[in-house]
Amino acid sequence: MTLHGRELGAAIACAVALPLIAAPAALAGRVDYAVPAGAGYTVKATGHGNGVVKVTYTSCLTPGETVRLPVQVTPRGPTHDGPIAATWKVIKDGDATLAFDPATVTFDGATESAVLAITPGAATAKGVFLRFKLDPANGSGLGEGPGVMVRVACVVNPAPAVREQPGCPPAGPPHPGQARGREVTPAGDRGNAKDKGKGNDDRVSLPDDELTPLDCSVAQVAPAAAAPGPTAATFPAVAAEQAQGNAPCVATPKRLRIHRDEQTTLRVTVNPNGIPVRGSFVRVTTPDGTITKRTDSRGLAFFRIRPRRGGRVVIQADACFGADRVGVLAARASSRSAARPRFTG
Amino acid sequence: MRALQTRTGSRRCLLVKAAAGGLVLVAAVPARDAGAAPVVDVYRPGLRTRFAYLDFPTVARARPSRAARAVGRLRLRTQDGTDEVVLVRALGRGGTWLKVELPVRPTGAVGWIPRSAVGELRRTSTWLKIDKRRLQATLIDHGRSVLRAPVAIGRASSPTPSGSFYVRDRLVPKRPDTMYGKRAFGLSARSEVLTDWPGGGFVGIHGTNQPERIPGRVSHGCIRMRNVDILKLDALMAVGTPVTIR
Repeated sequence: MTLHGRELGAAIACAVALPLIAAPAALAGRVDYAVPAGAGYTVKATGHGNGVVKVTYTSCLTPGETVRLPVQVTPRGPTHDGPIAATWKVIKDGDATLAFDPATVTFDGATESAVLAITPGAATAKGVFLRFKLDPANGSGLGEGPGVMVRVACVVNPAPAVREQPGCPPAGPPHPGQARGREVTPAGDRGNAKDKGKGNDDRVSLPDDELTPLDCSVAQVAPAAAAPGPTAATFPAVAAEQAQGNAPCVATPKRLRIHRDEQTTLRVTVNPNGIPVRGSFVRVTTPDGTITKRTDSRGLAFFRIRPRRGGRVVIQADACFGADRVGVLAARASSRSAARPRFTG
Repeated sequence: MRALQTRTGSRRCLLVKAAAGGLVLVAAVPARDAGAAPVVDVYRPGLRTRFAYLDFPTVARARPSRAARAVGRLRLRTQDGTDEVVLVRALGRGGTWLKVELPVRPTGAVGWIPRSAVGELRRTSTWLKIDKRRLQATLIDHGRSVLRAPVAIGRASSPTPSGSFYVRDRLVPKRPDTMYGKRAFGLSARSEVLTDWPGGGFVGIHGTNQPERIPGRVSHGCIRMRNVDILKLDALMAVGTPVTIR
């Protein structure tokens, strides 16, 4: 018996299609991922829940400090009978140690819970980015699914310890909203009253000779050691090598003009790696002094400055090195000595 | 039967159209309301007005939108070399646009500029009123008259323009014995007659070397005051003060 061309084609089509039709629906199965909402991070499920789950930490992490991320994984679609083991698969960019608990998830038809412990390594402004998913055993009929993406904007060293002053009671742990450094709240700056309660602290540093020895309200900070990475609430000196170049994590208005004797509102965004960071310290150094504030939940800090002298305004953030610099322009000239005014007379 | 069906169909079509039209109307009314952002009037001459220096050259628009028709261009410097000032009449679009008086022709023109084009909004509480009929200038500060002085205005062939203006700059002539006297204030007003005057025919308030001609209608459009009065005015009035000539 010989098959002609058309019959041969039909036979091949049947040979391909029949096994597909008869195959178990388990081919469509996959793992779904969910991250419950929690403090310190935001969760965004893309693709109407069918895409990757994006977890973004809203503040900088500290080296050695472990954060735990709960994850819920659910097998979707018919699978083989019996439990299916799946191991974690991770793509990582950045210095961090990861530990999954449990290390292997065994699906038995229901939702399983796991916890990812993230321990950042060295301080860096480059942050930590990772993506992980489950890799079910071969032949289980369960696909990996899109997985979870975790973004940590920055890793900063912990703030240096507060040094006790002789004659003053021992200082307690620093308040979460308290700025560090030799700083006091300005008495006469009423312009920032609107920002109070938004996470913006307002402090102006004093020169050494203005600090009284028993002024216990002023925090004294031990000089920061030469840290390899950025340190919380610590800024390199404006002229230091670490402050050279632009600050990559700081965004200021492109068209910004600061005039002498004129109030200017600076809107500073701290967004290392494009992620707005909450609670980051921002320092603005003007020719008259410095102001330090913390960013709000949108990564924003507002400064109202009125330089009385010429010079430069330097903007720094503790989440990264470098500094943005804006020159102070001359005061407005509305009056001048004219040889002959150009009026109609 | 077909005619009946057609009529029924057209009636149904009409109903659908009417319903759709109603939906469009319902949708359009809030959209129009949402588009018409409230305009906050901040012009209270003699009590509190706001002015600002320009940070960037900009184009004034007929409406608070970059797509609106241009009504004037603003530069960074005045014709006398001082920094350009605009008087703010109102705030629009949540304060992101400013309705300002423009130092352009036609005199007394207003337009909208982006808030980002100017620096700090400064305040002034003074208001200078020029009465062309009585030939008298009155300076008001915080609602009270603090200075009253006789003035000379433009003659019939070159009249002083009427309207609402503001003080753009303050000049100290190097020679006080000239026709500009000891002080001169530039206004946003421009002469409608002397259009080819050097600098564009701007009108000012200044002193004089001929005090005997005050009060009168003798000038080319400027407002002249006696030197003693212009010095008093200089001590009381700042740049950005609104000026009303009527």
